[in-house]
Amino acid sequence: MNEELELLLQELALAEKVRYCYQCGTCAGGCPVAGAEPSYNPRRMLEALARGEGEAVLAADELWLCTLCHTCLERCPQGVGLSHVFTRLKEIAAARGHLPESLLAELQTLYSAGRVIPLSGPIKRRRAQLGLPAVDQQSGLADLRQIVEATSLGRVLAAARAKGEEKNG
Amino acid sequence: MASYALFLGCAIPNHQPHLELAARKALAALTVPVLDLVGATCCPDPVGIPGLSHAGWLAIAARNLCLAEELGADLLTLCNGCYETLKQASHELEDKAVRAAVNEVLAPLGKQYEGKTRVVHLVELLHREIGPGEIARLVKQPLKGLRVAAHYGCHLVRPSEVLGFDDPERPVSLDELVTALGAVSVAYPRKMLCCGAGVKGMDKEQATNISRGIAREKFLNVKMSDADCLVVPCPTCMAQYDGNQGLIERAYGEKYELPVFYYAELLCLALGVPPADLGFQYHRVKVERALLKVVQPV
Ligand code: SF4
Ligand code: SF4
Repeated sequence: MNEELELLLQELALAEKVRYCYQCGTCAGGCPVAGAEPSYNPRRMLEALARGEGEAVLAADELWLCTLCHTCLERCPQGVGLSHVFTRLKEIAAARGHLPESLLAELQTLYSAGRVIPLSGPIKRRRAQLGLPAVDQQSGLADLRQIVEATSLGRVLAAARAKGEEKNG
Repeated sequence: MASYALFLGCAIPNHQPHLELAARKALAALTVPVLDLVGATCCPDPVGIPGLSHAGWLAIAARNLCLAEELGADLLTLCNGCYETLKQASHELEDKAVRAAVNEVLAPLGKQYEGKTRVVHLVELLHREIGPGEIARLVKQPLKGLRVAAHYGCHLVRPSEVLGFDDPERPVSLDELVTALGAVSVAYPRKMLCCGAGVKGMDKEQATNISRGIAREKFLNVKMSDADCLVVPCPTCMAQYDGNQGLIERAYGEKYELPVFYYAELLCLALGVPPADLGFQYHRVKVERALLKVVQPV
């Protein structure tokens, strides 16, 4: 049933729209990451996909720089839905173990605390000083862990753990 | 008015609780009925987590949507990231087949999502459901003469087809809410530029440099407008512009000295909440100079 969910989501994914790209470069022109780092170029990534060089795109570090600001999605005259395409590609890369350390750490925190930003001692005290109610991080945690384990999030986590043990062992 | 289930997320309660304080005080001052959302988890993060597993991201979001549905309340977010995740998820869950598949994951937890939760951002509530006119009427202490550069952030308006709140390129809501407080909303270039906080990367140093470069571009553009401060509707933009401003100044050898406010903070001031009752001491960039323009020293 879970595979069914994942397949459905793949159907929803917009990958097939990739072929509508006519290389106008509007996406690259408005991209904040490309503005700060000229080696990042969403148009070129689309070009590579159209040429059948998807493997190279998946393996490239650049894939992970997209901030998902959706400027390209809004502006693309061909409705390619780039930001969603990049997210889908990240997912495939992550399943192969190609993902940033920082993101893996984020997933580990999500699993252990139920939040990507956990509550720290100083903030707990600050909340009390400000007269704010205590944060309850416990009541949803078991549910969240169960969801992680029931979906491909669990597989990414397990692969990362195995990798970590390999490194340490 | 409908009741709102308050979805706090992570970045506000666990990193910048002074923003929660301002939001709670503003909602109370406007007599908006708010319910706590017991058992909520991370929304989860709309930039990182879907890139690891769309299915996991969607199911965690669906569980959060269930909690508000069980209360029979609309879900109110104080953060652009939570808004993006929960509204995008609720949109995807309108598809019956997707919802059925997600409900199979939720069934062992004793949860089923029926697709009823409406997701609302604080700015949307203020602009669409209360309205700038009504807010202007309630203002006790107009922020006269304060020049404010409004920053919307990406996930308040994009993707517009799903969020459907304001124009993705030329939005007006936050500007109108600034004007409603008696302040001036200044024009400046590249207003819709991303804050850059979401840049992750295989090479951490490269990601950090890109993230700072994007934020610097915003500071330089805002400085051109002679604004007294920036205002943001999102804790992630806040952490980037306020929390990291000093680091960015040092990285580029520049000085911006630009105070940053969360919109609810300005709203509280205009509604007559004394500044000492808010958490301005937790801002990294001193706000006093901007405050002195509009409120009596405390
Ligand atoms: S904006 Fe759209 S059509 Fe133009 S290059 Fe980018 S993806 Fe292709
Ligand atoms: S969504 Fe990604 S690729 Fe598109 S403009 Fe934003 S950062 Fe660039």
